[in-house]
Amino acid sequence: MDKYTPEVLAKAKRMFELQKALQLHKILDSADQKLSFKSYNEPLLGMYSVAKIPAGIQKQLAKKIYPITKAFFKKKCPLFTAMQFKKGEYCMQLPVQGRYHILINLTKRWQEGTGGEILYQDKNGEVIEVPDAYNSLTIIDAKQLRGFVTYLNHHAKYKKTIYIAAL
Amino acid sequence: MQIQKKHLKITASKFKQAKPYPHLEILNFFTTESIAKIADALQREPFYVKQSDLFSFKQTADLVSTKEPALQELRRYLLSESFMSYMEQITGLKLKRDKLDLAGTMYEDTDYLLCHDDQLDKRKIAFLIYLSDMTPKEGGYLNIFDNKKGKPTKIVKKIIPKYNKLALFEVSKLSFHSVEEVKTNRQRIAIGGWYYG
Repeated sequence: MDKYTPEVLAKAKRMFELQKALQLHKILDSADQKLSFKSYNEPLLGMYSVAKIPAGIQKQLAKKIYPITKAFFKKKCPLFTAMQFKKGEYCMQLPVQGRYHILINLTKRWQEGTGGEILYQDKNGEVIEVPDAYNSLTIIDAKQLRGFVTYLNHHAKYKKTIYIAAL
Repeated sequence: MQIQKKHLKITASKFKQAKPYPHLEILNFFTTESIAKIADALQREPFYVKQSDLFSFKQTADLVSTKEPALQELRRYLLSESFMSYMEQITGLKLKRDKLDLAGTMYEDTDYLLCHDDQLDKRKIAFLIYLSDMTPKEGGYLNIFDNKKGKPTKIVKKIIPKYNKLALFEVSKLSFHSVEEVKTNRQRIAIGGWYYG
């Protein structure tokens, strides 16, 4: 995160205010973390796995992301939860509360056309997609938007992993 | 248009007693000639892609506007007094006359319909007339969910699509169901819709 100087952050903030979304790349130095996932099974809301992120990793995340949340929102970095999706799984409503969603994509290999897209939809049905990029951080102004993850079809060979939090 | 005579004696008991909510499947429902006419006519109907967070499949327009004589005949038949009385006989439910939604659906590889209850307006009975066969490995089956405290829990029954099978269930706040993703290059084709109360 050292490369995000105050000038770069100020420019990024202006872009975010204009576009209501922003994606930054190569966010974490070491993005490979082994977590203990548990199944979440509520057919109307979603089927996926969730994991608590250990305090040590939360601390690392906060160190990296705090300059951004401070510059953008004058707030501390929130606590993240890990979500993981395999074929046959989906999420109808991202399980975070807060206007600004912060997503870290930790999916190394992803195949086009297998589902698992992270989408945000407004009341008119207009949809924006979070571009899939490994080790990226996406901030979205989710006011009056519903975030969801589309169904992963049977061609999906790999799991999709994201860390998610909201402010 | 005609159904097999042997089905005329079915009473509502099987439908009503089915768990976790009233449903029924009847094999070889229409006569061989009738179902062949329906399947043939549906092949000429245009299908449109339907996609949302909840589903991905192809569907015809409501068959109220079809130009296919066999499908017009099917619709008239499903709305006829004799057939609606028959539906009331096998379900024990009172149905509104002259109201029917009817469309063709096609599920291809990776198409699916996630868990929901079908409740909209005053839908009373959801039904499907399958026009293709699927094996359990190929997906496309109608999953029936059990429920607890008004929420779906786990799949307790799978209705396998079979040519000329009629499947129907009562629409209610507990009629949670889904269509399993199709995992084959073969198409799962059906005509289905809703009767109203």
